[in-house]
Amino acid sequence: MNFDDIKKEMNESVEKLPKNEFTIDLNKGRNNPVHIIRANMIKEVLFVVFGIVLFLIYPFILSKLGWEMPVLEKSTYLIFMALNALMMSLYVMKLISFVRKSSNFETNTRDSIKDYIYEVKLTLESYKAYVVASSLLIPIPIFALLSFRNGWDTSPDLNFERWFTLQLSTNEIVIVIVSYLIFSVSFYWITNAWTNYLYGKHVTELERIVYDLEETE
Amino acid sequence: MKENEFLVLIEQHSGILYKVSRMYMDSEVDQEDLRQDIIFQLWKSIGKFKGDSQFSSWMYRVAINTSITYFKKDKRRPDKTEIKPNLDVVDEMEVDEKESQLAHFYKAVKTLNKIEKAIILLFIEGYSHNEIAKQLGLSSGNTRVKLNRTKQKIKELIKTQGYEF
Repeated sequence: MNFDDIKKEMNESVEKLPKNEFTIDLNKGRNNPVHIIRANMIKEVLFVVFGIVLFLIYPFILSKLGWEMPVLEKSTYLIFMALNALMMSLYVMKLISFVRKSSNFETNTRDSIKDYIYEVKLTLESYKAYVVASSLLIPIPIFALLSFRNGWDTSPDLNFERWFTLQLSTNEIVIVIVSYLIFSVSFYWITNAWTNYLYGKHVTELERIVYDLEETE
Repeated sequence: MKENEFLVLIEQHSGILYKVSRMYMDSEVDQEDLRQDIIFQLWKSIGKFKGDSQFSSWMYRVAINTSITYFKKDKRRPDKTEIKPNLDVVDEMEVDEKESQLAHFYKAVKTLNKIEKAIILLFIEGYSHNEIAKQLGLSSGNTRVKLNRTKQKIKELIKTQGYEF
């Protein structure tokens, strides 16, 4: 046996196969990490966009139902949520650019995989930056909403205006700072774990392939 | 390019699809899934084929890139399956492949990693060191080392099955 024999048998075995009618199934690509990462990202962005739109219109829904938020709470809520939506739209643009670049399979194997790994990592870092920035913004509108919904405006301790304008004792300011830090670090940690769960294993798989490619004795 | 024109082109080069999918997957179902993934990727990329190289070379490149980055969910990857050196367990194969030299070759191929599979397939198809290096994005020297090592591995594995190589 030699490689010529194998080539001959390989060609013969292909010629013996029945001629199939080929079709293009647009649902395919489900076993390919490149497609899985892209599909996961698109799903996640759609979910986040839906969440942000829902949060943005929430005060108006409440208003329609007869619960009108006080001006300070409502304007603070809307400004911070709008900032969040702006950051999200920048992330979505980054993702669209990634999706457009990430189907380049016709360059050589090493370059196409390395480019892909670079792009996916860059996109994930943008995503993490967006989440961390959001984690610093989100507590304020959430507190505004809770303050209104739970009637804390009438309470001297939990009054939104007092907290928002930082008319607080030193102890309360320390509590705010520590809470913020804990919230942000937790958010960042959860995001890291989440992105590793969704994307990390696929990136690792691709990195292993590049290692196999570049490795020599 | 229209879908039916594309499918006619794929039909003319269907041998590439079968050879690549057979190298990377063992069961007929998995091979069919991989072929569909490759066709999907070819369809997405066909607009970028400018005719600078032969269609078959371009198709090999896309097919191999797709196969290399392809893995089966919820199952162990085929190329990670531990193979005992004596290879005494015959896998599910087509009836007409049994006892053939090709069957022994495919059994040996199972022990290779994804890159080695690509290298040996391109070599069998008659690609030179430099062409393989260009397809995979490797240096010529690295390709030569990998090719020699892979050929040696295949020869040794086939010899353990009682064949002269």
